[in-house]
Amino acid sequence: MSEALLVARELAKRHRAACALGGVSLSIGAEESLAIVGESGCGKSTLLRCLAGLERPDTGSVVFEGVVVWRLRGEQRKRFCRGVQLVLQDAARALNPWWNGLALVREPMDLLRSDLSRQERDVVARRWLERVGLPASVTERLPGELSGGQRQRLLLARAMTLEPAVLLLDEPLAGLDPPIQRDILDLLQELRRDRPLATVLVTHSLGAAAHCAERIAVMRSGVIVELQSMDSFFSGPQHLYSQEILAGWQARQANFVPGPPIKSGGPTH
Amino acid sequence: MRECAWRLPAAVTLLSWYMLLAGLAWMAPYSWREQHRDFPAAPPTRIRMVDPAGEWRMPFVCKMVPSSDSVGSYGEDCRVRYPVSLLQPAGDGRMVLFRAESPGLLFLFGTDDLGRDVFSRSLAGGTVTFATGLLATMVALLLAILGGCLAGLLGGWPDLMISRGAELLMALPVLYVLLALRAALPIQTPPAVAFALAVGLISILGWARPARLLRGVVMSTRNEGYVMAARGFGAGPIYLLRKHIFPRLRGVLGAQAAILIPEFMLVEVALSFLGLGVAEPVPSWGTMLSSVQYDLVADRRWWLGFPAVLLTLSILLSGQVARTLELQLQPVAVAPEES
Repeated sequence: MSEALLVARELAKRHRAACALGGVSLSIGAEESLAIVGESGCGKSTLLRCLAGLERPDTGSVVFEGVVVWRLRGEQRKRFCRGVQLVLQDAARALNPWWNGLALVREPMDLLRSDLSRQERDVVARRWLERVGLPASVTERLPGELSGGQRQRLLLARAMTLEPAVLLLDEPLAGLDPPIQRDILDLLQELRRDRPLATVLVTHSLGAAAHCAERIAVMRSGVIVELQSMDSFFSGPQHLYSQEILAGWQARQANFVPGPPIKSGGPTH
Repeated sequence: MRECAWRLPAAVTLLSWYMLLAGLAWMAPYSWREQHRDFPAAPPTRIRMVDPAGEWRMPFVCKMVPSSDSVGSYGEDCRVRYPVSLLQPAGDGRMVLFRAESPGLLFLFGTDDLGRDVFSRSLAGGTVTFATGLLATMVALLLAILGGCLAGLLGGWPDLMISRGAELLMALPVLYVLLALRAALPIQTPPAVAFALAVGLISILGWARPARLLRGVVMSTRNEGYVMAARGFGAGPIYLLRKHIFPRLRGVLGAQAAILIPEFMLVEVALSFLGLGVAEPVPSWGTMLSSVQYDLVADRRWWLGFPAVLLTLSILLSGQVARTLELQLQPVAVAPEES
């Protein structure tokens, strides 16, 4: 692992009475891919929002390139926003329902790339829409007129327009059909091949985690109970809870009777 | 947003009604201050089309003759006829709605005790009343936007102070507080000052409800995923307000304006009815109606109550339009889920 880009130190956060994070430390290196798994409400999303600087932890700190994120202002804050992008959970709500595709993809650049002219931003936006496999007609459409998979691609495109060093993804596969999930994961892999990009993928699915991450963190009740390389996790999880979820996943895989392969119609790689 | 097609007629109907009132005031047959001293308390002039000989003619009015036995009773001398014409230039170069050929007099709604044309004064008074309602609504909504956005965006103690303040205002019996406040301020003021005071007081007491409403919309929008996403792109509060939050407020503001304008018009009427609004000789529907509160006047000079008819029409129309707007301007639901 190369030097750490984004470091979380002893993050703790309470939402009213409930403990969302109970002292989480994590470091993400350049071009690394990490998956965070755990059940709903274990603090995964809170952790991501803290890492993205959208929530302030009660104690502990997030450090990006040696500076504490929450204190960043002005140009430094912009630099951080360009470097670390969060793709929010629930694509339908993360897109303003009254904006068309082009305006949505251009929004990050409108805010953070004032060095580009309006035309240049449009060009970049269209290029990214094409890159994530969306038809050109999406520029004119509202999010409500897109499918779930298309909305997820749109979210990826708008985050990627900033060419971030770290991409945080909060349940990008939730609510999508398995073939579409597969397409999104493949797209993510392609994006990682294109340029240096570290990804943190929060997911329920061990399968997705195994597909596109080198390291895995298992979270439970606001703490990381196990942080391993993917191979050693699958060969022998240390923590009791990790063993439990791995066993559960393997049982589901065994019960699953595969039918004939589904032709997804989308890009397959 | 298919309902857009309906929104236009509703708003246009209301606007054209107020425009009509304001526009007609410029085309009133007489000036609101012009006194016909020889014709006090004259009943509405009859417009005739049949002359004494029983022949049909173009509309005309007969010569009005004050009767000698009592003030305020009049006879007609139909041997002298004055034709009535529409949209004629008057002596002062204005285009008037209608007039009888000089020196004939045509008082559509009669005259008051000083011989002033009630119809012309009703139109002018409507403009004053409507202007008060409109201006007070604009000021109140500005205050509401300020308060609602501050409370909704900042949360914490600013929210606490603004919300509790608004609730306190809403808990007060507004009309009584307004009357007390207005009575505490100087009564003998020039009409412009009285107008400004009425607008100021009404809007200061009236911002609370729209502010609470806007606060709610701002708060719910602030927690939307797309606002969070924009913050992730480094958006500051000004950007969020301008791009994501204000567009959501437009509908609420439109409906609130449609509700508040008639409400504040009624408050203005109440103020001037009790002598706390604009004072004579400037007309407002309230000051004009205040003379009808005595039995004798209401009984013998029923035409002085004409402003009440216009007021009732305005309020009914506004209420209907507000209800339609409120239904139509509801924020559209978030993007439909996939089926």
